[in-house]
Amino acid sequence: MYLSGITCKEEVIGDHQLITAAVTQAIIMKHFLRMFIQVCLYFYCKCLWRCLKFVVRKLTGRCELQRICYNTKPGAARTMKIEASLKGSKSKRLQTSVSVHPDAIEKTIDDIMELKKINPDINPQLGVSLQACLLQIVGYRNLIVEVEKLRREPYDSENLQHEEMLLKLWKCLKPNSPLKARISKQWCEIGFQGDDPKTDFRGMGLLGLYNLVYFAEWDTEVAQQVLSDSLHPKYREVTKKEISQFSKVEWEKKKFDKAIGYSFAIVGINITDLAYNLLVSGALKTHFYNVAPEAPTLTHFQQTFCYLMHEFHKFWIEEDPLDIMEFNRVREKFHKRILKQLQNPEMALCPHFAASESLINM
Amino acid sequence: MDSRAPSSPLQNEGALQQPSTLQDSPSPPHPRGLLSVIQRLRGSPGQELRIVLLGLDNAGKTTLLKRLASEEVSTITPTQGFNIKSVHSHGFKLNIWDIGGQRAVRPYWRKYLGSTDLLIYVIDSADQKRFEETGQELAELTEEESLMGVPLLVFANKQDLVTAAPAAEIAEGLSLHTYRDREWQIQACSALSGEGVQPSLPLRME
Repeated sequence: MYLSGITCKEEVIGDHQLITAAVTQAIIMKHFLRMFIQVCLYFYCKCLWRCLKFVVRKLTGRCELQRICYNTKPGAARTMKIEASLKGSKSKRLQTSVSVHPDAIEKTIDDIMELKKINPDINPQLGVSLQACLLQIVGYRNLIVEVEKLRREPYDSENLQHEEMLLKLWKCLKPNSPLKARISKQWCEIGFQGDDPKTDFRGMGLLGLYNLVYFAEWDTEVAQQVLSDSLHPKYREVTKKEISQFSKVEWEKKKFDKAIGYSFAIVGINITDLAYNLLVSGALKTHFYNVAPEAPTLTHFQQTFCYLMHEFHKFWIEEDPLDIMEFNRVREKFHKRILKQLQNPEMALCPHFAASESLINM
Repeated sequence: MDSRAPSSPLQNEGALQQPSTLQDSPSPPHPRGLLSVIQRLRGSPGQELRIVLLGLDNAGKTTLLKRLASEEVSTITPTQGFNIKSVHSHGFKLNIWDIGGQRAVRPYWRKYLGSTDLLIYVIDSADQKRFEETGQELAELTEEESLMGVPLLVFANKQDLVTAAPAAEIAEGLSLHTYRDREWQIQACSALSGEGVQPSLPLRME
């Protein structure tokens, strides 16, 4: 037995505890060894990778950035490779290039060309390609900052601008029924929780309101349709076979179950959270690098939100949940599905906007 | 704190879930807040407990849930449906259910009440306008058969706001002292800052 390693206070602690302690020690040792091997392997691979890069560079006469631009077509596939290459570079200048100010990008490209000893006259296209990639990379980072700032600004009912936006949301969604008072039960009709929406924005702050207003203003038809569907849950088609399977109580419940609708505005705020998470985690890079020819902007983000709202709505109907209590399960499943789609570098969550169609030209 | 001395509800032996374990429980010297209630409920650690969080919308239930699970509380959104988290704490596995508080969802509350070990009711202490509404909801809940004898922990949340009413005032408004068949405790807290969420406030032992 391997108890010999532990000699301390044998007479105090019982046999059982002794064995437990020994097993624990063995497990710790095993973990340590495994980690040590992984660290060694990491450095070995890194070294091997550097050597390989060096050899390929000597053979082809091109640096990694050049090879990526020549071999990969523009869009997310190329930009993500360039981003990884720059971040993993051993040169400080290249590492920091992904976080420069947008105005300094041209200068940065010149620096990179010089550092990599690439003659811009012989490779005119390379500078242009690199610049496009860098604009997207830097733009994505700045978009996160912009979105985060909006999210952190809480809704303030004393702020006239915020109030105007809230009223605009109502007007766009319910053009034919005017709001009778600022504090009114009517807000529940568009899916807020109570008579004053100000407490519903919570952790999403102004970002939630901006997204909802954008959806209602620029994609009015779809927004109104989604709202109407959320209020009037679809008719459940139940076959005879299904009826025979239900108990009478269950059937009565299903027949009158009106709860498969959801609260439009609240779901909008939840989908804002989903879009925010996709952005911050970097999952949206695939989409933005494919649709934004240069830096992705807040408009791109809001269009993505509209797309997600519409897709979620369809997904919800497809999933056919029993009631609203299933919301988080369906949301989680939807989130996973979008994440999976975004793993494909060709993926663009193409919003059906006429305005954004012209953007997919990369 | 005012909430330290809840009046002593007469112990109705039959109504308490496990009176014998309550007395025999080998509790550590200073059980903390929520845990003090739990330990006295179930005795020895290593067990699963079902806790249900209820209250009006915007009371702070999800923030409290995330706080209890030591998660980030800055990106919370209104709850559609419910959230559930399992928290391992002091040898207990707490399954905490946080159920949406909007009016349309409240009819679903009772679906989640079965075999509950502890009911946590959260109140927005600064929302004076809805004290009556929240009191009514709580009163209806306590009449539910499935919650008979289930201990009640009321969180007087949002104490970080200047307009927040003190816990004692809320306890009075809810007439907690009239409860005869269940243990209760009220706790002032701020789920946002975490203050008062897990205080050392041992419940009366008998």
